[in-house]
Amino acid sequence: MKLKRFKEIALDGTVRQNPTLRLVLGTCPTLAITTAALDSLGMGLAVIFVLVCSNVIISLLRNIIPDKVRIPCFIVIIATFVTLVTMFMEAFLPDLYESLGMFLALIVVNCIILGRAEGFASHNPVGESALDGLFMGVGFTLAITLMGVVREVLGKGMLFGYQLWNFKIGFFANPAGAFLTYALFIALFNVCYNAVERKAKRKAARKTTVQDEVAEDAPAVEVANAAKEAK
Amino acid sequence: MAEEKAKKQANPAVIQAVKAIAVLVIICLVCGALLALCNDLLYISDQDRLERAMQKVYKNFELQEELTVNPDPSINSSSSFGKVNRVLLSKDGAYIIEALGIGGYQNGTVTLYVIIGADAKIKGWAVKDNDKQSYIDRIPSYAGTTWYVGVDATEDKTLDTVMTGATVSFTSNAIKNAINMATSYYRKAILGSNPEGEAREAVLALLSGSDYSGYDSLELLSSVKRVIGTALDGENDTLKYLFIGEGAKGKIYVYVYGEDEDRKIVVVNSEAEVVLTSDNVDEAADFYAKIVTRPIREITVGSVTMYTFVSDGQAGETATVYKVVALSPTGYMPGNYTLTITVKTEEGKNNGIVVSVEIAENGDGYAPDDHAPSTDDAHALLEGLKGATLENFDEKYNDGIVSGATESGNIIAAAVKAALTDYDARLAQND
Repeated sequence: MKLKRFKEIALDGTVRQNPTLRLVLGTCPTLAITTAALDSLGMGLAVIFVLVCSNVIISLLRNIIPDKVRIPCFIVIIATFVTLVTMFMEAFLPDLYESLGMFLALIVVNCIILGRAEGFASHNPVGESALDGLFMGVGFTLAITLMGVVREVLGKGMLFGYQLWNFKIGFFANPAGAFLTYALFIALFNVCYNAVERKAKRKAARKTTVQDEVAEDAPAVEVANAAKEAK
Repeated sequence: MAEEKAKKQANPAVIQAVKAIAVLVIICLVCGALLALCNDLLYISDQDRLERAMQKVYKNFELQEELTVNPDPSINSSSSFGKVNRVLLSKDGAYIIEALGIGGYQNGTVTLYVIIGADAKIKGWAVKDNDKQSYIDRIPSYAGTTWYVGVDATEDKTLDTVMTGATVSFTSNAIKNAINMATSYYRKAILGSNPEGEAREAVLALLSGSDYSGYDSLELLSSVKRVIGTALDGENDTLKYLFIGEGAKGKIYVYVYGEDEDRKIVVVNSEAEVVLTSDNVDEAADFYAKIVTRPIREITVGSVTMYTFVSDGQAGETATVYKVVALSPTGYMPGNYTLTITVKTEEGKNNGIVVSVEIAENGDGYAPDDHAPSTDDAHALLEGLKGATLENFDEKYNDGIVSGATESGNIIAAAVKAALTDYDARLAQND
């Protein structure tokens, strides 16, 4: 795989098509789980595992699964990996398992996973699909973990379960606070993204102008070069 | 020809459908097989689940065995406290007793896990479940690690309610009852010490050979006995148990003093008359005199019947000052009040009239100035009871005075009624 393609997939998953902050997918766990940073991180890692594994398998089977039954097949595959994650967490991470509760099982119907399976993995090779799953998951994890940090610090005065101070604004620990935090994150992210995009476009536009000018002057330069050679 | 062509077109569609279903089924089977394999590898046994659940309550818990709850209802349950549902033994010798406590808000219950350590002391408790206790979240988070912790479970005594103030008094009562149920079960079933059961059997044996032979069911008035404390103790005799029984001859109160060979039993009817005693009771004994002069009475005020106990009646020149403890019915309400009531003989009549009422003590944590009844309400109530007699009592007592504390007001009123009843009874005796 070329480096360019790798960069494209990486940037798409984490920035350009960040599922939480750009595509606004998977809002249910985003709002519900981000009361604590550790829970957010745990959910993010579970989603990464499910995304990568399901993308790989679906990509492997993309030429075998008939079009008519692709959605049920995707769901079965995704549900299998979610169940595996649930079993693993219950066995080895019982506290996290209890914190995540029913939202662990709800990963099956998370739009991000089915969306990437349908929109990417079923049309692309295994390697690219795996990377897409990885970076989409990373983008989701980063977004919800940051939200979790903000809500936990402001709402409970804690960070990753450790008490920082006694000051807390209870609003941020509530569902209403979740919506507000999410909205602010989306707004901030998109403002920054648009600013960076505009800057990049201006830079690209300037570069194009210079190249055009160079191309117009090209015959005179070639004549001058040819003259030099002749001498 | 046309038919053959149509058939050929239909066949690929059928083949496609079969292929689709086959692929789906195969994927399901493979996923199922994978999950079945992982289930065996990651299986969590019931014991592990139980240990995990219990370790949240008691960190050092490792299941040694789950004990069968003793089937004897006098051991595994109590009309005062509740019942025991489950008993687990940890490898370090601690017991986790799942006990249900009655007497909560709206007659609801609280189920606790009570941890009694190998040293027979309460290590802590945690709430498993509750019924109708909507404000149970207001019980402080430290309650399970501080309330009753360190109490010796081998001591045969009833623990008091830990009050946190407004809104959770009933829930606290249910918690107290669950703790008492757990410690009672620990003594009777685990330690094998059941002095209450032995006392009960002795009382039933005494009753069976008398006119009260039909009284085969006795209720332990543990909360009443707790509040009475040492008021009915003699110099050499300690009141151990107080039972109440109902039958053909009405209610009887059974006072049990001492244990084993020194056990003395006195049975009093609802008219405050001694109807039966065990052979070793000396009517000249000081405790006997106390029982006779300080009977427990059931007084009804409003819709609630309460037990009252005149703990001290001091005859003065013009009035008799009583210290009256009014108690809530067993397992229903947590409150009790001790009041100082001055009663004198009404002029020209042969009955008592209230001169003054003061709240001397609030049982179970109520304080008139920071819980219902409020200071102003309490003052208005007490003032309103001045001049009350048994005849005009219902007119004088206004249970609406104490807003939000009707039951507390009723307890106070019951105490005043008890003092008047006792005064009138003494007047009748003197006549």
